[in-house]
Amino acid sequence: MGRTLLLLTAVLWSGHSYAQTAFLDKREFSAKSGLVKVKLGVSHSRQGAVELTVRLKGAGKDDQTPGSILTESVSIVPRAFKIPPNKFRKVLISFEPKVTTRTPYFACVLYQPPVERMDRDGRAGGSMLLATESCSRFWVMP
Amino acid sequence: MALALMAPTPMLAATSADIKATGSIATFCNITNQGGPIAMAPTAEGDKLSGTGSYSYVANGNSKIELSALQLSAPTGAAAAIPSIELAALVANNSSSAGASSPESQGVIRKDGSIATSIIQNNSTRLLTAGEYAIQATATCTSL
Repeated sequence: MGRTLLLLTAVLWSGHSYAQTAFLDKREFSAKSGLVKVKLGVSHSRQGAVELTVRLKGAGKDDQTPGSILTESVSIVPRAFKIPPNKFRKVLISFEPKVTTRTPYFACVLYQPPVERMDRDGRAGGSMLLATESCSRFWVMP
Repeated sequence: MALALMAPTPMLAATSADIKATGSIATFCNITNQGGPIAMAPTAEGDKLSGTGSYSYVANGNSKIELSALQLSAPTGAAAAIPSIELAALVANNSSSAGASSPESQGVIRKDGSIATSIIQNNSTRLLTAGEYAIQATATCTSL
């Protein structure tokens, strides 16, 4: 996790505006003991504290694309939290995968912007709300 | 004496090993919608709503972007319309049922671009029903 802190420091001091970020030091895990524990580092550099949600996903249409959210036998501590900008929060994801081959998973952190009422002075119109999510892929070996 | 001078010196070998330096960096990627919600204004003909914003995409290794299926909210009983989101030179989607993916970044990437979003009528009268519309979607950056 020390390396992650160094990277985070470099990222935040680079002067650029970053959204939520999920750091993973380790990319391969063994399922031999039955339980897989993934340590995730989470941060963001938006203005002000924001609520972030951590999710574990399986593979989607291919092994590069996150698919559905996994919840069965999955523990995420903490799962959702409010965090000030440029702070670093450790999250522990524990789950019990039943894999027979090398299998991809995705540790993801989601920022859902608040819905804002747009004042259009009575005119018709519309709005687009884009949530943003950062995922890191890791592999579980049988 | 000559043989002794030609023999390798263990002391030098040990010194060489002592100055070995290694390091590593965790991979990451992120995608930012720079301006929050994007307002969409109607055309004079009333056949389209459109708006623009901007995004930033940064990754320090192989990565890609997935734009989820679009959720369109329209006035009750509205005529058919098609939502659309385009992250310029990256990925676009106009489907309410399937996501769309960017190509893999093939290494480090730092890209800033515009977001174009629209709702276009898809009916015989070529008009959007009056009222409030909204599109919701998720842009996911995956570090591979």
